Amino acid sequence: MYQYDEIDQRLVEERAAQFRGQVARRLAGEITEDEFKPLRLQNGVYMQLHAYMLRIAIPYGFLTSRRLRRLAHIARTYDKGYGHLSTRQNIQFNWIKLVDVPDILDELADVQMHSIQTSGNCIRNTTADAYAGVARDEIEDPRPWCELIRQWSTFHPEFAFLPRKFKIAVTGAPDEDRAAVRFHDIGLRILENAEGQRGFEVIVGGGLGRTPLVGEVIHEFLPQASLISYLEAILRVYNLFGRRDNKFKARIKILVDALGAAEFKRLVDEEWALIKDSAIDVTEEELERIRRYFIPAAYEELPSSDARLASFSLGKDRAFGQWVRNNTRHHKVPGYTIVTIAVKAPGQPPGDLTHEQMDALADLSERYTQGRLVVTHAQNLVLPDVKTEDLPALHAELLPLGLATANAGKLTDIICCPGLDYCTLANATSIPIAEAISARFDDVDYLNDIGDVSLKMSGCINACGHHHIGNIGVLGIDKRGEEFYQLMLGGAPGNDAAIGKILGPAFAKHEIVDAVDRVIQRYLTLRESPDEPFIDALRRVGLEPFKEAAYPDAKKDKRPAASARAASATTVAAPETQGT
Amino acid sequence: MLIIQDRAIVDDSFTHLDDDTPIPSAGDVTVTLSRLQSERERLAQHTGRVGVRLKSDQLPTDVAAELPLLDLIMVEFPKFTDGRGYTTGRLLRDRYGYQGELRAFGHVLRDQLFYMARCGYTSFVMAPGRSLESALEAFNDFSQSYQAAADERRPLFRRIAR
Amino acid sequence: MAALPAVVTANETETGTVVYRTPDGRLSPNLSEAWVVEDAERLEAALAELQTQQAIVCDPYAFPVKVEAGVPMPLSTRERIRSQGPTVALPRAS
Ligand code: SF4
Repeated sequence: MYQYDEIDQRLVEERAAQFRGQVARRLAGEITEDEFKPLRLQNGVYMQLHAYMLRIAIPYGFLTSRRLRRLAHIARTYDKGYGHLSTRQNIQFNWIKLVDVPDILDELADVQMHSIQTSGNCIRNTTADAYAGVARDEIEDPRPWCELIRQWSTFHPEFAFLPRKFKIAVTGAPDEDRAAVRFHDIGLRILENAEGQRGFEVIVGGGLGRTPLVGEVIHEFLPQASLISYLEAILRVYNLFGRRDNKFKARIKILVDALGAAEFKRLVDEEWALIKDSAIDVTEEELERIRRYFIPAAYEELPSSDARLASFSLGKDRAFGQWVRNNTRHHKVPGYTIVTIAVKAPGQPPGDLTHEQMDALADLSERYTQGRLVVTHAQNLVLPDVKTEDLPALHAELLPLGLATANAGKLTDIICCPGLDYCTLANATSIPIAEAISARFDDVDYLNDIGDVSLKMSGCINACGHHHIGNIGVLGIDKRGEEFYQLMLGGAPGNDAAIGKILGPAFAKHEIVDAVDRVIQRYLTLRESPDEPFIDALRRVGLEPFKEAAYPDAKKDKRPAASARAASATTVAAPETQGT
Repeated sequence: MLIIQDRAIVDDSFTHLDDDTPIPSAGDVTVTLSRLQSERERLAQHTGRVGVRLKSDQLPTDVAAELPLLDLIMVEFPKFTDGRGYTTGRLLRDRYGYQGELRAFGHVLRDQLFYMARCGYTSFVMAPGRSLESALEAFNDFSQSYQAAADERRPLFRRIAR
Repeated sequence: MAALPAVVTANETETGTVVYRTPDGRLSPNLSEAWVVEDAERLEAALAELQTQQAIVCDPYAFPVKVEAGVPMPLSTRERIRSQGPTVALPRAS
C-alpha cells in the first residue's frame, strides 16, 4: 500500500485547509452557490435529495484496516452510521453537513485519505482490477501505475476544468478484464509482447450514460515509460476540442465518436510527438520508489491449497461450502485465497455498510489478511490475502456480521445506484427493486443453479449502476410521474464487452421483479446444459425467446405495452412497502 | 482599473479597444485577434505596448505568428468552468516560448489563480466585485505540485529526491 | 414556475437539511408546516426573496402539491421521498 511522504501529506492537509476557507466564504455569502458548486464537487461534496453527500476517494479501491476504522468513525460521528460503496471503488456518506466537511477532511488527511477530485469535471479516482497484486492471471500489478496516475492527475493545473468528468481504469490481467476498461474515458490494459516487453493497450472514449459506447483502441502497445506524456496528450486534445456547449455531449466519447477513432488518434499522436521523451515522463527511479510500496507483504511458504479449497466447497457445512464456492478465488501465492465479502445481504441496500460492520471488518482484516481490504466496482469488498486454512474461522466470524452472503457473481449480487431514495437526478428508486429481487431469489441453491449472471440497475440514464453492461440491466424511468423500469439484456463489462439491448416497453414498479423472474425462468428452460451461463445462452438464442417470456401476453392481443402491464398476475407487494 | 500582476495589485496600464475605436497615437492598447491580424502593420508601428485579447476558443496557433509584436496576451475565461484557457496558457509558454505578460480575464475567481499561475499566467483581471487582497492568498494554497507545468518544467520526482 | 398550489423549498446551505417556507416566513424542516401558495405572484415573490438568501439556503424552487386534510402533499414521488426520507430502511447493525 502506498504510504504518503511529507509532501503527499502536506498536500492533502493544504487541500483540507483550502476547502475550509472555501466553505467559510460560501457561508459568509462571498461566493454564490453556482461558484461554490465546482469547488465543492472537486472535494466530492454533492447536494443530494435529503442532505449533502460526501464521496471519499479510495485510490484504486485499496484500503487498510486503519483507514476503514476512520471511515467507521466518520459514519458514526458525522453521518447516520453507514456508508455506501460506489461502483468506482469509492465510499460515500449520505447525511453530511457542509460545516462538518472541513473537519472530516482533516480526519481523513490524518490517515492519508482525502476526497480530492472525487467529483467535478476533472480527472477522477483511477480504478483498477480489485484482484490487483494477488490474481493468478495478472502479468503485472497495475497499482503502481494507478498511483503514478493519481499523483500526476492530483491538482493537475491544466485539466481541472475539463468539458466533463474523466475516468481512467487500469488492469494488469489481459485475459479477464475486471475493471471494465472498455467503458472508461481511458482504459489501460497492461500487455506483454513477444519480446517480453510490457506496454499499455490504450482504449479511449468508452462510457455509459446517455450514449453508451465501447471504447476504441488508439494505441495497441504504448511503451510503459511513455504513459504520462501520452495521457497528457489525450487530455490536452480533449480539453481543447471536447464540446462545452452541451453537457450531455461533453464526454470524450462524443469527441472520439464525432471525429472517428483514427482522426482522434492522429490528433493525439501529433500532440504526443511534441511532448514525448520529455521531462514529464516517469523516471525508472520514481517508478521503483512507488513500486516498493506494493511489494507483496510477508507470505508464509505454504503448499498449494487448491485441493483444499475444492474440498471446502463440497464439505458437510453447506453454507460454508457454498460461500467458498461462490466467494473465493485462487490466489497467486500457494496456500492463500482471495475472498469476496458480498455486501449484498438480503434486505440491505447493495453496497451499504454500517459503522459496526466497518469496524468489525477492519478487525478481521488485521487477523486474517494483513490489514488489507479492497473495494470492488461491484460494490463488494475483497480480502486479498487470506490463508486457505483460515477460511472456516473467517466464515464463522462473518456470519453474525451479516457479511457471509454467498452470492458473489450471482443474480442477487446486484450493482445498484442510490436512485430516487437519495439522488436528485433520479427518475425512479432502485434500491427497493434490488431488495425485492434479493428477497425473491433468496436461496443459494437456486442462485447456484442459475449460475453466474450480473444484474445492474440505475435510477436514471446517467447509469451510475452500469445497467448497460449488466447481463441483465434495469433502468428506472419516469412516465407521467410514475416509476417505470426498462429491462435490457446482453451487456457485459469485460473482454467480451457489450452494451445491453432494451427488451421492450418499460414495466411498472410492481411488474419489474416478475419480469426479471420470467427472463430467468426462460433461461433455465432453454440453456443447453447447467454449464451454459446466462450470457452465453442469450448470445446463442438471441433476444426473442426472452422477449416472449418477459411479455407473455404480447402476441395474443398485439398491444405489447398495455398487455405487459396487465400481465403480472403473480405480483409481489409493491416494493416500496418494504422499507421505511 | 486594478488588476493582479506578478502577485501584486497594480493599475492596468492598457486601454482595451473594441474593433470600432480608432487606435490612439500612443499608450498601451489591446485589440481582438481579428483586428491584430487586419491592422498588423499599423500596430507594429504603435509607440505604446500592444496586446491581444483571445476568446476561449481561439487557439495558440492562431496567434503564434504574431508573438514578436505582443507585450500582452489576454485570454478570456467566459465562465470559470471553461478550462480551455489553461491549455492555451501552457502552449503559449511551453511550445511557442512566449515570454511576455499573460493575463486571464472574464469569470476569474480566487480559486483558479493557483492553477492559472501554474499554466503560465502572470496577471489577472478578477471578476467584478471580488476582493483582490483575498485573491492574492490563493497563490499559496499549495506548497508543492506533483506535475510539470509552465511554471516548473520538471515533475516533482525530478526536482526532489523522494 | 410550478403548477399551483405549490410549496417553496430549498436545502439549508450549512447543513443541507430540506426546508420549506412557512406562512410566517420561517424555514421549517416539516412539510406539514409549509406555506401552500395559491397564486403565482406571491409564489414568485417568495422565491425571489429566498434567492437573495443563498448563504442560508441553496437553489430554492417550488413544487406542486395537493392539500389533504389541511396538509400539503407533493404530487411527485421525488418530493414525497424528499419530504419523508428514503423509502428503504436505513442500514443497521445486524
Ligand atoms: S444513475 Fe441516476 S439516479 Fe442513479 S445515482 Fe446516478 S444520477 Fe442518481
